[in-house]
Amino acid sequence: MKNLFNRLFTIISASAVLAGFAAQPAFAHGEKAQEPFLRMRTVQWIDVAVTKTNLAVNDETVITGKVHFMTNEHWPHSAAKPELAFLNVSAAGPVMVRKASFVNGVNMVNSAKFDLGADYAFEIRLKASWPGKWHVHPMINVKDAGPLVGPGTWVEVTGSHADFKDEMKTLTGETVNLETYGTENNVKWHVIWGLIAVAWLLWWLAKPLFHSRYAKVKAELGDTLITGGDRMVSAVVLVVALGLTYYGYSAAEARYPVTLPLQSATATIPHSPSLVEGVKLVLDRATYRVPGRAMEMDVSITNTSSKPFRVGEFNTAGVRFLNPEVGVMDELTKQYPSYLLAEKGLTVSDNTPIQPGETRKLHLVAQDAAWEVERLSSLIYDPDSRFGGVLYMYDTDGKRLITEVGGTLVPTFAGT
Amino acid sequence: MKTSVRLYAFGLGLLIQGLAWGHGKATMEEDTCARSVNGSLVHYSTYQPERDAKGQFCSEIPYSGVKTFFVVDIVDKSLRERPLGLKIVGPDETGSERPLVEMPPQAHPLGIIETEVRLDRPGHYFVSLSSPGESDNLAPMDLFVDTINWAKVIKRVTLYVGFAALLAWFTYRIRRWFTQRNALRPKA
Repeated sequence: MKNLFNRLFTIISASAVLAGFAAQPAFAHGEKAQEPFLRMRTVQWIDVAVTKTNLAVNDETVITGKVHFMTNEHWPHSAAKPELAFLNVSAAGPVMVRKASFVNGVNMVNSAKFDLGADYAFEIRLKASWPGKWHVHPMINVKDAGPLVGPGTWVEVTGSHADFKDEMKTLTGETVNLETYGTENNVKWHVIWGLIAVAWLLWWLAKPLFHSRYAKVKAELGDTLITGGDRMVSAVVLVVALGLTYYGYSAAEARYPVTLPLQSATATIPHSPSLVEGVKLVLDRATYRVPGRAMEMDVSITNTSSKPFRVGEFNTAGVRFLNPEVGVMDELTKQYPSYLLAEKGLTVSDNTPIQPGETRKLHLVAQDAAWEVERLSSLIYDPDSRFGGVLYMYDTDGKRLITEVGGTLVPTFAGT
Repeated sequence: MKTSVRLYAFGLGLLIQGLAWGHGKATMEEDTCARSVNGSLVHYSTYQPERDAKGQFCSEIPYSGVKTFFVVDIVDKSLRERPLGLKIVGPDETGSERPLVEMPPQAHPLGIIETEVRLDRPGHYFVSLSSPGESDNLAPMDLFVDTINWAKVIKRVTLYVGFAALLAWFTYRIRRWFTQRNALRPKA
């Protein structure tokens, strides 16, 4: 036994050292570690709001907003299309419980197909479970592409987890607390099977293992390795395992006669009216001045709507560059996470309204330290250094028109 | 094998696991180029595109005598309205310190302080921020331009030597196991 312990300790020690050298640099806080081209060219999160950011355990809060899936022109070829995707929440573990989620009014208990170029309104209802300060993001998990994380909001939860209740009424009229439901039974069966497994393992480990067994096989005495006692114990374990399995199944059937299988269907989501309308945009050139943290775009914008409008905002990867000349600072924007809001970040070469039918060439500059802090500037060193985002125009009635923008981004150090 | 050797290996493993290699994709809080100004973060970056188009440097700047772009990103927004100045000090031909850059304090609403400087000589430079009514040595950082940061080198060498020693021991143990196994084999 001492020999066995010594060997195991040696293996663990060596593994710890080797694993340490193989470890990658820390990738904490997920969305910043994700490649910029994925964050900028897949989905754009619009009007994201959280109803309550200070709550007690058992209180509820709701995340709402819209999500625009970029068109095929901008969607990265290396990322799987959202043929199957799931509306989710990103947080530091199960600190909030998702009570319900909807996309365009459809219950999102299942995954669904989302279309490129389409817009969807979402709603996620959360219940506070653990006290603490949590960064909570809406998120869409795309099959074969991974998570696409939205802007995060700090939510502060007070109280004690011991008071948390997640009660609901089943179809058979029983009220259960999902937080603890079935835990006792779960633990019981884990202990039973665990004890059997450990006993089985110890039966074999207690015998001499490698050297002596190898010697016997080489001496053509391999048949003597399995004794009569081993066969007896194996038979007993086999009978016990089969018997326990049958008993467990029968007991579960008797205790829970009415059950529904886990639903594997996919949801169908009706389209909502497109957010992208009234504007046509052609990107002529885009550069990123590295020391100035400034993305500069030369664009041709055509007003295909019926009212004059001005360029108010550039939104990419949840970072919002606002044009202070147009000055749209509505209630939603005031509540937007401040670390993602560049209030004076967008400069437009000509802020006079673009008339209906007019095409105008503009020079836009989106400048803020957020490019570096949010790790978006590393896009220029990626093998796929194309950016994506949406531009917001505001007409004379205050109506917002949205258009996509994207293309190759060339780094430059000129023009300090 | 002695227990003391095992414990050494285990301890080395834990030490190596804990080493922070963070920059680039690490968060600002873990970034080795971030500094604190009264609890608010700023982040230093340096670029020398004439010699390395893709390089982004921190305290170790590889080349002297070339145009160098120095950027301070003000991470915490509360700091943007506060007047901040930038000072870079470096050696002159006699080895004495002289200021190369002295930007007066002003607010930076976009969160960016940038400057272009030529670091003529290899050696030790020093960068810091200043604010009216406070120390002019805020968020200090040493810069090693075209020179070797010996403390870092010694730490790295110790690490690699330790790893090599452990690998050698591991190899010795495996060889010994094979030797013993062969000794057990019945001779033909």
